[in-house]
Amino acid sequence: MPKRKQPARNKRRAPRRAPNKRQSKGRVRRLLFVTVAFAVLCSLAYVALLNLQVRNQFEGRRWALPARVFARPLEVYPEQALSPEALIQELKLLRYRRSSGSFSPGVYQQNGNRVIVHTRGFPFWDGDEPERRVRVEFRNNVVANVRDLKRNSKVDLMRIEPVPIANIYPYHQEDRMLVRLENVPHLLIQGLIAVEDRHFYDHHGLDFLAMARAVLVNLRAGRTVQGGSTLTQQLVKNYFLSNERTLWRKFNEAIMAVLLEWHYSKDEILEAYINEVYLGQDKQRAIHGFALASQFYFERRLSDLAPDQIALLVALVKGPSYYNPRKYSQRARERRNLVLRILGEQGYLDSADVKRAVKQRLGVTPKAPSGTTPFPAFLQLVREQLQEDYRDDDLRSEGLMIFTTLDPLVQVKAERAMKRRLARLEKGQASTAGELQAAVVITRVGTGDVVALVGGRDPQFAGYNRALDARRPVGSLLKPFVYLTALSQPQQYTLSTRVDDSPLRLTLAKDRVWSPHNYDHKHHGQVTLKDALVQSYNVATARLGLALGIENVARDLRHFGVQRALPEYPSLVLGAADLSPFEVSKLYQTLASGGYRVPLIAIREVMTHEGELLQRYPLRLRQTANPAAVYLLTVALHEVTRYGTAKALGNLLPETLKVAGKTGTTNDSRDSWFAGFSAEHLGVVWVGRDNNKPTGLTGATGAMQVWADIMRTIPTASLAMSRPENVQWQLIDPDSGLLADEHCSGAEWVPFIKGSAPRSESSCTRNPHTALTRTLRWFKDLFE
Amino acid sequence: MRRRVVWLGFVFLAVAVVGQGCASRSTTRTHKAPQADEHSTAQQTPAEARRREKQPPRYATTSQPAQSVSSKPVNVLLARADSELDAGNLEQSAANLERAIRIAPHNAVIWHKLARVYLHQGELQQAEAMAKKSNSLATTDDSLWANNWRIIAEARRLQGDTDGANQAERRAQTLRQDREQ
Repeated sequence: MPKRKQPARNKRRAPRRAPNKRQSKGRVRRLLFVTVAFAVLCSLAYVALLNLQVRNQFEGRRWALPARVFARPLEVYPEQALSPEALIQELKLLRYRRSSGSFSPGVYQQNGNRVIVHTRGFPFWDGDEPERRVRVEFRNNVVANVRDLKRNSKVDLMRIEPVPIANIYPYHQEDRMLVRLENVPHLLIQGLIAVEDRHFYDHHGLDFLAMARAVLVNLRAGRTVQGGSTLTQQLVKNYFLSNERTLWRKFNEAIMAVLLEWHYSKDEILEAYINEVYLGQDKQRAIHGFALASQFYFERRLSDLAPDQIALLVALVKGPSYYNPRKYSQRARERRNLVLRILGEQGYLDSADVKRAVKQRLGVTPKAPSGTTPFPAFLQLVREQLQEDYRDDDLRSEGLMIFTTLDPLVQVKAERAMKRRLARLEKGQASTAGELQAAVVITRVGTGDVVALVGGRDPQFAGYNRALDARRPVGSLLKPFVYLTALSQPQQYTLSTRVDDSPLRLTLAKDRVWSPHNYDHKHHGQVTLKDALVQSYNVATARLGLALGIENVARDLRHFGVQRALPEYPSLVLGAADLSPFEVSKLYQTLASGGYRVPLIAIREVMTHEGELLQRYPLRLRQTANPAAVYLLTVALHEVTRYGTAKALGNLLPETLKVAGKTGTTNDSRDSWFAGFSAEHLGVVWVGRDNNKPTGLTGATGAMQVWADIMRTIPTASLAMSRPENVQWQLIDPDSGLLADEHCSGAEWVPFIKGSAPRSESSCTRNPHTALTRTLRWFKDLFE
Repeated sequence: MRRRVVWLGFVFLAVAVVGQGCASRSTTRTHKAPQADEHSTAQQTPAEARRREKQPPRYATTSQPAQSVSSKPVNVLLARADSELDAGNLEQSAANLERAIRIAPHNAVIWHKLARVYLHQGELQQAEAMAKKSNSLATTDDSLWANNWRIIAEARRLQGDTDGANQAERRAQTLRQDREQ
């Protein structure tokens, strides 16, 4: 047997070699197969990822009914402080037109003190407001009566429909004006396709011929002259707005373009493109979409454009900055005419039209118009409040109606007053010419409604919103809260308590000495708490703050509404803290409401498109300060406006309008502040320069002037408080701080929390009992 | 004779001393009852202005709402709010009340009714805060005062604060003017 093996082995060995080769080939093939399979899987996974990304972008920005934002509805009722001009102004904002004799919804007629208006009615969620034809009679800028002419009855209360102030496309950060494809002019679509992607309807996302042609042309020219991207590819590029033009990015975009075409129809892609394409820049605001571009360049609706204007917009697609018609009119015109010629060649315009169109001037408005809302600063606040409560997903439901607190009449008055006063202030000092800026916040005292918000001198410009975002040192504006902390401890501090205003030197850590000065660089000795606040003495306030404990003052400030971290240094009491005008409003709202913290709101309710209530922002109160202490403080703040740092208000406001307020000036007059309130409105004004240079203005000569200009033009109610049950007014002799009677010279009425008033009488009182006591004392002294 | 002289001397002294005690009263004459601060005060000194006032300033001691607005629109809204509350539409009721507050923010009745709505909604802290706010505006209306304290009592009771609730009940029973003594 072993003998046979050898030849058998030989035989077997030979054939064994063949399977070895096959086996190794098999192994290689298997390895290759596995690698390829793995690579394919990875690619598929990657493509799936891209698919997800591009679909998210597409779905998110899809055409949707915008959320409509409304101002507060104007209420009209007898005895309301409303002038006929104000009513007409509101009607004009609602696009009512003057009657030519007859009346229909949206028509009004004015005859001096009589206004007849046919309202449109509105489906408010809390009570349908019917359409009405009413006659409103005024007397001395007060509504005398309101009569329903059709039903021939008196009207006790009615609401006019609210003014629409903006549209929000919640997914977008910027303004958008979205159009449906069926509302886009045919010429625009034709031009777009002819110029940018001639085979749009034929390809599946990529046009290889166009790409190849572009490569050749660019090679020949030595640089990029032509693009071979389809509209789909451009749409993808717009979604991700990346400036890097790497091969990898282009590769991704190509895949995503194909995926997009796979999921969506040509019309859907075209519509998305028309609403998404980048067409210009307005400082910080990007202009996307043809509808917005139409407004931006021509101040016209897309459907109202002439052929040459449509051609210009199509021309801009290639490079909105390079062909900016306001900057490079020659270039823009040449490219526009190129587009017109292509339109002619393709048969979309006849040659006569083309000839006429190329001769037209560009027709763009010289200055870019404001954004899509006349109140961008207020709208920013609305967006912020929406974002707090809603995720983007929630807002995607179509056609939400957002009812805000904005009072357009107050807003317009505030803007006008600010602009005029700033101009006058600058005339007084050339150094600030053109540089003064301001911010204004006006709220309602009872409800915390933000009725007006002015972010800067150019209110239409949706730029830096100083009311919300400019944090500046507040100076003396914090003083009232230091005094509130004191007055909340009536056993230790009353308005008559003496504080020392003589020089103060405080050694802080590391040998740093703090020595505050008064504004008049004088020291006033022993002063009452009230006078120290009314005259805004720094030194006395500093002493008071130290006695109270800075950490206690800071804690109270947080309690009263400051959410920002405060520097707990002694200088805090003199206002070494940066707050925005809006944050200051939150603080002062607590005072104006009598010690109750009221959140400031810009939105009242949100309704669905069908008219159902989605969310209400109800009134919420929280008592955070002792109402009696706030009462005392408010009396002092009223005296600020009569005898103190704001006494110039006596010449600026009517006698019958009593207010309370506080001026604020920071070091070197860099910031001028005023915060003040009536019975109905709280106003906070800041005036300063963006570059933080001195303004030469104090709180009284700057911000307070703007404040007064506003408060005297808006109908507002004079300060009127009812005395809390635990507060008593006493007549006090200012020299001794003791009880006086009307026979004491200079005696003044001072409110005290029960149990904290002085008990002894001043020597100036004409009390026979006292005269006898004094006589006896005199005798006693004789014999001592 | 001497005794008479001493007597006369004493009488003279007494008269002089008492006279001197009386003479130390202020020499300023009291002015006419002041016309509430309607006169221009910009030209007076603070001391002069204050001397005129025989009473505490009116702006700080009002006994009626700040805006003397017709109660008609407010009444319309209050009536609506009441019927909505009866129908169980709490949000609608509150909305009408808030609309009324925008017209007359210092009307204590509106705040009281809002407190009631919040109580029904189970917002107990808000109910108490609104009732207190109503009281800070209600100067002479004792029954409103009492009703507000009853709301506060109920709100505290529902939160488990029986002591606080009892305190509030007691306050509801005392009249404001009595507590002022």
